[in-house]
Formats: sequence, structure tokens, C-alpha cells
Amino acid sequence: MTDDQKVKLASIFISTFQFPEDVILDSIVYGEIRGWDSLNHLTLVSEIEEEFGIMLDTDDVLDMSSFHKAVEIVGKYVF
Amino acid sequence: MAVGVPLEGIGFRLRPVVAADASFVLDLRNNPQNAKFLPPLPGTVEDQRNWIQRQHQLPGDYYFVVEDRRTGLAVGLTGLYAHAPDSDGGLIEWGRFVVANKSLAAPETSLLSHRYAFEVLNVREVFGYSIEQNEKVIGFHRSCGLEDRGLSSTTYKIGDQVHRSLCFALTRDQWPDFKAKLTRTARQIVQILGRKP
Repeated sequence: MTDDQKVKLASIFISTFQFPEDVILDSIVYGEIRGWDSLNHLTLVSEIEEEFGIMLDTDDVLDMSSFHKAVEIVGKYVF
Repeated sequence: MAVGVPLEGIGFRLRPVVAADASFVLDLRNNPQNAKFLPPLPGTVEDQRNWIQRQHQLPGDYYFVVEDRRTGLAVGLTGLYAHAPDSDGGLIEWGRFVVANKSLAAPETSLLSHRYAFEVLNVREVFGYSIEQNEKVIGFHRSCGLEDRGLSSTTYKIGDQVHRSLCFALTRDQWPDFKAKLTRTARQIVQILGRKP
């Protein structure tokens, strides 16, 4: 995944969960912060799919439990 | 006696808890990843089996396993209890709500629990409590559309700590909008869970 793609992914996280711009995304984990619950997880997935033009497999949707993991997963779909 | 009846949803179903679920109940409730803010269940599988048998005798108390309709696997628990009926259906408390991490079962579990209350039991209001620090569940209830009624007088003891709780509720008038919203979400989840790897 390129730096530009990482920035794009970060901006999706920030807008979906309404984080401040200076949030440390590496510390964000599913279920441990207010806002990242199963409802907003669906919004996150749908935004990622739309912005990157990809469709994630079920296992990847369920495994995307942190920003770090999202970078790894989305990286498999984009070149 | 209030064992309840199964309720089919879109991607998940509710079925009454039976004694054979004792081990699943203990594992799910005592896994800190799933139930960080629920009081842990003490005792053995046998104790839990006995408790479930006693629960079946409690009037106005409904306890369900949440099953994934696609796989048939149990992925969560939910309960309705302390039913106080009156001439207009009365109130019931929703709780014992816990689903396996990453199952995406939470929205439809909430939907089915409320559907059971409003469409099977015909109550006029469902209410429940969440520990004040349980930001994940509090955010989830708010996103779903439950009415936040603020700090309640109900407290929970977990370990040595006593926790305050917030009260959430849904009335019969609010049920149609809640149902429409979570039905859309449930369909979206089924579509995701049905994708091929």
C-alpha cells in the first residue's frame, strides 16, 4: 500500500468515527473506543469499498479490527 | 413459567436457552473480550445448568441463545425479564446481552430482542441498563436509536468495584423506526456474511 493510499484510508477512519485530525490511529482497536461498534463497522467497510473500488471478503470484513489490520487487509486488494 | 419460543430473523435467530447450553453460556459470559462489563458468572457448568432449569420456572423471564442462521452456530445470548404486565402490556427489561466478538450479531440481536418484546409479548416499553464506562455498548445503543435516559439508580458490582449505569429504553411508538433502521442493517450484514472468500 502506498503512502497516499494509507492517508486515504486514515481519512476514512477519521471521518467515519469523527476522530480529531491528530488522532493516533495505531492505537485504535475495534470495540475499545466509543464509535467503533458493529453498526459503524459496516459504515467503515462500505466507505472503504467505495473509496478504493474494492469488495472485501467476509473474513477480511470480520478481521478488520484495527487501523493497522485495515492497512494490511486493504493492501491485499489495491496495487 | 416463561421459556419463550424461537424467533427467526434475517441472518440470526433467537431460541430459548436450554440446560445443554450451560457450557456455552459460561464460556461466552466469562470471556473478557466479549463481556468486559458484565458481572462474571461464578460456578461450574453444572451450577449453570441448574440455574437455567430454575430460569425456565421464572414468570416473565425469557432467555435466548442467538444463532447464526447460516452456520447454525451459537454466537450470543440475550434476555428479557422482570416483565411487569399491566392493561397496556407493561414494561420489560432487556439484558444478558452479549455476542461473540467479530460475529456482527449485535444489531440483529438487539432487533430480535425488541421484536420479541413488542410483537410477541406486546409490551409497551423495553428498558435496560449499561455500565457507565461501557462506551462500546453505550455507543451501540445510541447508534441503534434507543432513548438514552441518563444515569440510573441501578448499580453493578464487578470484582471490588461498584459501577453506575445509564438507562436506555424504547417505547411502542419508537419501535417502528427502530425496526426499520435495524432491519436495513441486518440485511447489509447478511450480504457481507454471505460473500465468498
